[in-house]
Amino acid sequence: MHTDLEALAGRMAAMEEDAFREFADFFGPRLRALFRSRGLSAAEADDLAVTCITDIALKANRYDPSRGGRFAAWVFTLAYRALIDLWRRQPMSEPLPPELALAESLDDPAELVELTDAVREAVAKLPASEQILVRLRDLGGMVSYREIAERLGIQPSAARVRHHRALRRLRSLLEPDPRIQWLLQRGSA
Amino acid sequence: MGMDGALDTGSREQQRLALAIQISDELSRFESDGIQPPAVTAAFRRRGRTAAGAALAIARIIVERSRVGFLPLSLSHYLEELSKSAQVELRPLLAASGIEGEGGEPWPLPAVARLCRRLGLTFREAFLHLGIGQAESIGARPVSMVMARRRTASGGSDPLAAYEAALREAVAEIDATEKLQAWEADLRSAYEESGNGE
Repeated sequence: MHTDLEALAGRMAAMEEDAFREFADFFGPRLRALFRSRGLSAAEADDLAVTCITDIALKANRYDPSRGGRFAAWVFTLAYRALIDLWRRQPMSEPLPPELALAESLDDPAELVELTDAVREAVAKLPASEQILVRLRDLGGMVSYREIAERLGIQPSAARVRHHRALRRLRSLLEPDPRIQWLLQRGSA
Repeated sequence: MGMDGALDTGSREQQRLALAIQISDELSRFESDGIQPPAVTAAFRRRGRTAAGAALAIARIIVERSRVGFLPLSLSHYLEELSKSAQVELRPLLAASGIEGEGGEPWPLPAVARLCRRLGLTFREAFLHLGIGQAESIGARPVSMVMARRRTASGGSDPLAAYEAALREAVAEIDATEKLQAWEADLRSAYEESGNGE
């Protein structure tokens, strides 16, 4: 079933009961999966996801689509903030890991959407043989070189070389993109 | 993190680019209808729906609070009144902030701070509600009675100031000023802890 997330945000701002339930059903599993992928235990991820459902749903009326973001990107940004807060509340607080430091600098969902669009468009410009490598290895799959080699019928060393070549090409496409410049120039990671 | 060695020439820009690719991928999966996240248990789904229901109840209470404004009541009494007017159930709302059981105050301070922040109470408002409840529980006169005697209900441009003065007077009458100061310090600390980056 297709979920119209922008409409959902509007229905939540209008305090429609069904919309709050749909919000929990759509984003709950995604929040949990995001937190698990960031190293939280199952119980920690459950607790933080549930807390985020209340806190983010409560703020839904503050989401402003005219600022150029998307509702899911706005939720995603707030989820990362909750994760950063949790990290900072740890008794043995260490400096933020690079991915959280980067996420912290992504304080505007519109920038996050632009970043995502830029990456998506750059990947689409790669030759098909390189797209598959990037998708398997970097985008969602996180598949090992050995598995990639098996799937493509090549040697693992060749998979590694081709993957690095694909990333170099991707980088050369992304580096001049104005939608990425702010990221490369902003703060320290 | 999955990107180890992906862009391994090591400059900061390259590392940031690699992380950017990763985060953009995460968002794509986060917002996609087509890519399903791993299945969750029925218990988690129930917790999620309860949490969303609590958010809706809090949102309705916030609307009611904007109509009613501050009242010199303990937090539990204030919430009871607001929840009746807003026609929402109080118990799930409290549970979502970590306040369980039937009893009234005192509630755990971290939970009070989280709840008050969610309701949009300033620290001063939260402390007044907490202080009023605590003061009455140790035998102080009700703040509303002190206010009536002092005839300073308006408080000029700062309406809360009059309630704060009345609360201080009520606890001073029973030599509990130090207790009031300790409650304030404890709540402030809990409030700061519950900041959620705000």
